[in-house]
Amino acid sequence: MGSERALAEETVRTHQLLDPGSEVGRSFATLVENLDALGRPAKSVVITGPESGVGRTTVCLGLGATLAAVGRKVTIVDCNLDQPHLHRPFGRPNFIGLTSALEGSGSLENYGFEAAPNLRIIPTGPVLPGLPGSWVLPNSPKLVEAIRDLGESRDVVLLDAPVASEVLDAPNFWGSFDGVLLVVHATRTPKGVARGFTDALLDARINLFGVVLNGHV
Amino acid sequence: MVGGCTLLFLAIALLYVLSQDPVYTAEATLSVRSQEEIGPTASFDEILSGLQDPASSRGRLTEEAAERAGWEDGQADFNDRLDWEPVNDEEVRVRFSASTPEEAARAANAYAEVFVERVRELEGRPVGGSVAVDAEVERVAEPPERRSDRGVLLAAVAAGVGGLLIGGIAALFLESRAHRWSGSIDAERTLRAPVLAVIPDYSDELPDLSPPESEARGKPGDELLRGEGRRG
Repeated sequence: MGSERALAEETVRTHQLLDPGSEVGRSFATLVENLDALGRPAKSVVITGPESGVGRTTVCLGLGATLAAVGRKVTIVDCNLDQPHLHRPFGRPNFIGLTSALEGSGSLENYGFEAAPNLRIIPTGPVLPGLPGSWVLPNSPKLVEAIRDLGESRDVVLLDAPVASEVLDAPNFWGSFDGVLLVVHATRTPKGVARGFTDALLDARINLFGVVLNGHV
Repeated sequence: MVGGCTLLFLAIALLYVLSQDPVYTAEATLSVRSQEEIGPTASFDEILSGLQDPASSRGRLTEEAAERAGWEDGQADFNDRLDWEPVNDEEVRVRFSASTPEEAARAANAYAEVFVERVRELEGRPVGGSVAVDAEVERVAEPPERRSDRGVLLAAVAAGVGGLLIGGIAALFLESRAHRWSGSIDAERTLRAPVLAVIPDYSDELPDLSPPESEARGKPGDELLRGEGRRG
């Protein structure tokens, strides 16, 4: 009963994120404006956080929905192979997705589902037991190539990435996309931890677009 | 944080204790016995009260004792430092606390001596229901070798408890500050990176998801994703 209720709440939250007219939707409109103001349009954005539970998926969905609402074709790719998540609030199975695309053939775009007009979701796909860590695939050139191909047909690709420490360990990955958005939670993320990661991201010369402060009260 | 506060409080307590005068307590024992009884037997407290009654003797016991001990800090201070209590039906213990062992013993013995003298002056006169009482110093007060004040221990315990409490509260406060971001300016100053958006906590906007209603409608939240539920 508890997990069912949690799923229900998650579903409602997702619905609110997909509604550009909601209060939270207006906050994501600000994010879109600020991203656009950075200069050249960001076509591929890695969304990460200092720790789990800060709202990376929330930001992916909110940003994706807002971009889609203004007519941009957006795809969100769930790269959290150790904790597949993006399919859940939509009540979708995780039978096909990123891993299926990398093992099979065809465009990555074909391995997802349409969550809203212009908004496509690519779940992780089946994750085989014994896979040594969630970041093995993202480090592979095949994934980078697949997402670049995806960028040919989509205006924006948002990567729901693992936590920042794993992103830092995958230079091939973050170096292949336009930049990184760091999500911190306003009541959960320790300031020292977040500061450590922004410093590390900047030291690694990662193109850090900026920070999204989530869950502000 | 908690350890630091506790140590700080202990250090303050130690400084406080060191800045205070030490306390030494000397003790003399008197024996007081009724020699002949008439009427109802008087209690020991009544005898002692009678002996200390100014109307029954010349002047107050403590005033003469203070004078004899050479006490210079005032009668009230002398009285505060003096304590006596019955040990049993025939004995009374006299205690005096002072900043030096010699002073404490001198004052305790002075009081005991004056007490005995007063009793002897009253010989043959009814006191507390007895026609006569006999008193003597059973054990003279010796200068004590150790301090009697428990200030160090009490201060250490109080400082430890206080330090733990204050340190715990301070640690909780700092911990909450370390986790709570007040807004975009706070985040930009802390992270030295631009904050592109502040997303509010929108959990309060969730509609009622009570189980019966959800169960009645099928899979929770499905209707909302189909666009039939509450919007905004």
